[in-house]
Amino acid sequence: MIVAEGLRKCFGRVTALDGVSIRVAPGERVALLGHNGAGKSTLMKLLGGHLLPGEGSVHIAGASVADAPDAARRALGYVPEEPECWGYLSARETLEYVVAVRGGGDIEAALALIGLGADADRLVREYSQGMRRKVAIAAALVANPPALVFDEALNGLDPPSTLAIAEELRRRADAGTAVLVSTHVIDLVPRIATRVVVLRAGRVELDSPLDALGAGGLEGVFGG
Amino acid sequence: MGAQRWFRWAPVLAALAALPLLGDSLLSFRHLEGADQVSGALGMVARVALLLTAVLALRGYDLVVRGPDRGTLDLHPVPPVAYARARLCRAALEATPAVAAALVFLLPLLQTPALLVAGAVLLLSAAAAGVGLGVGINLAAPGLGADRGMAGVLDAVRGTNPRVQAALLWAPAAALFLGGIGVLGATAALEAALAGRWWAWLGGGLPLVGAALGVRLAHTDGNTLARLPAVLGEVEASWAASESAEEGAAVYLDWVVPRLPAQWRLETLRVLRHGWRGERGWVSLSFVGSALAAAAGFSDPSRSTAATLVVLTTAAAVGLVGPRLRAREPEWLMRALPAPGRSLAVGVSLWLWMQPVVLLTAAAMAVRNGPSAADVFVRGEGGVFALALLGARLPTAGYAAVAGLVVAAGAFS
Repeated sequence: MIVAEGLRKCFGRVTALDGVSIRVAPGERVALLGHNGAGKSTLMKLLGGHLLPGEGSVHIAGASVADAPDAARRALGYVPEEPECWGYLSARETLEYVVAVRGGGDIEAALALIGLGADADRLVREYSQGMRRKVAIAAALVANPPALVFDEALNGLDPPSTLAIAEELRRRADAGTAVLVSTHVIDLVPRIATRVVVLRAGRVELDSPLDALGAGGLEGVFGG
Repeated sequence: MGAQRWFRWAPVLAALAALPLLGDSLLSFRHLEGADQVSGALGMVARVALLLTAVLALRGYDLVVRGPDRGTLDLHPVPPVAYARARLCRAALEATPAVAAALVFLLPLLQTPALLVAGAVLLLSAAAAGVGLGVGINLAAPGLGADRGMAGVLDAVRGTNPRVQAALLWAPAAALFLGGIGVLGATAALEAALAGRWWAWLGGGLPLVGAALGVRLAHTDGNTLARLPAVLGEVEASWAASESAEEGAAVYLDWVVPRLPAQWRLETLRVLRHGWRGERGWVSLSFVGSALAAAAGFSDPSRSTAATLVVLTTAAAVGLVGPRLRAREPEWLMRALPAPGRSLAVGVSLWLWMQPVVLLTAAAMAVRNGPSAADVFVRGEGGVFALALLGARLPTAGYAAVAGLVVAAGAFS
C-alpha cells in the first residue's frame, strides 16, 4: 500500500504540491500524469523519501517515511527519474548487492527481465544510459518489494524492454504489489495502469479508473 | 588509473618540496634550545596536526554525505554496521598520503628522539581524530537532528533551518571543533611530558578520545542512514529555490567582466566560464602557489628570489590553461565560427587567474618585510604579463618551452 495524505510542499515562494492525497492499494497499478512542472517529480521524491513534506504524511506498506524511513525504504522499490548505478560493478554484482541488503531475491529472473544477456557481467560504467536504467529497474524489482514507485523510469527504453517491464508490473500487481508509475507517454498508460491520477499545478485534478474516462480517453484529459 | 594512484601521493611530494622553503618561518625552533626548542617544535607539529585533522574531517563529510555512491545507496536499505566499518576503513585508507605528508614535517626532529616520538604521537592521534570524527559526526548528524535531546542545542544554531538540516550543516564544524580541542590539549600534554612529567604522555593520545567518539557515532541505525537523502534533498532544494539563474551561472572572477571595455566582455566571460568549469584545478594552483611563495619569503627578505621563482612557476602552470582550452576547440570550429578577440580574452583571463599568486605573495611579504615585497611584485607582474601573452597564443609544447625561459629570466634577473 502506498498512501500519501495532504501533501504540501513549497520551494521558496513556489508551491509544488498543495494538498495532494493519493492511495495505491495492493494489486493496483496507477499511472501519474501531468504537464511539466505539475509536481509529479516532487511527489515521487516524497514517496521515495528523497524530500520531506512541508505538511502531510507518506506511508509505504504501513511504515511512515518520516518516522520509520528504513522500514519504508525496505518496502519500496524506487526508480528515480535519473537513476545512478555503481560504475565499478557489473549488473549482476549490483543485483547481488541489492539482494544481500534486502534479504533475498531472484537475480536470474531480474536479469532475464531486462534482457542484458552476456552484458550482465560487464561493468556498468561501460553501459549506455538505457542499459543503466534497466539495471536500476531490475534492482527495484529483484527483491519483490510490496510497493513500486517508478519516476519516468520507462523513458528511453527500447520497445521490447518497455513491453516486458510493463508486463512484469502487471504480474507484480496481480500478485499484490502496489504500483505507481509516472510517465509522459500517454500511449503507454493502458499497458502499465488501470487507474490514472492527473496532477495540475500541484493539485490532483483527476483520479479515475482508466476505463471510466469516457470517449475522449486520456487525450481528452489533456487536449480538452 | 595508474596515474591517478600515483597522484594520490602528491601531498608527500608537496611536503618534501615545501620543507626547505618553510625553513625560516616554520622551523625556526631549530636555532633554539631547551624548553624553547620543545615549545617551538611542538608548536610547528601542532599546526600541521590541526591542518591534518581539518583536512581528514572535511574529507569524512565528503565521503559520507556527498560521496559518489549516494545515488545508489539512497535507493536501498543500508546495513548500518557494515556501512560504518566500510566508510571508516575507506576514510583511513584515503588518509594515508595526507598522514605521510604530515610526517614529512617531523624530518627536522630526527636529531631529537623524544621530540620525534612526541610529534609522531600527536600527528597519528590527530589523523585518527580527523578520520573518526569526520565520518562519525557526519553519519550520525541526521539521527542527532531528530533526537529530542539535541533540540535545545540545535534550536540555538539552526536559524530558519529545520533541526535535522541544521544538524547536517553544523556537523563538519562540530568535527573540526572537537578535533581542534583534542589536538591543542594533546600538544599541551606532550609539552608537559617532555618537561619531565611522564604521566602527561597519556594526554598525547587525547585526540584518540575524539576518534573513539567518532567511531561510536558512526555505528548509527538504519533510520538515520535512510533519513539522509531527504535531508540532502531539502538542502539542495533550498539552495535551488534561493539561487537565481544568474547566480547559478556565476564563476570565479566574472565580476571583473562589466569593468572591462565593452568589446572585450562577451569573449572574456566565455573564457572565464570555460576555464573555471573545465580547468578549475589548474586555475586554483594560483592560491596554492601564493601560500608556498609567501612561506618562502615571509621571514627573510633576502629570499625574494625564491619567492619570485615560486610565483612565476605557479603562474606558468596556470598559463597552461590557455593552450588546454584551445586544444579542446577543433580547428574547423574556429574557422566556421571565428571569435574576434579570442586570444585577447584568453590573455586577459590568464592574467586575472594569475593575479592571486603575485598579489597574495607580495601582500604577505609586505606585512612582514615592508618595501622588499616591491621586488617580488614588480618581477612577478612582469613575468605574469609575459606568461599571459604567451599562454594566449602558443600551443602547449611551445608555451612550456618559452614559459620556462620567462620564469628563469624573471626569477634570476
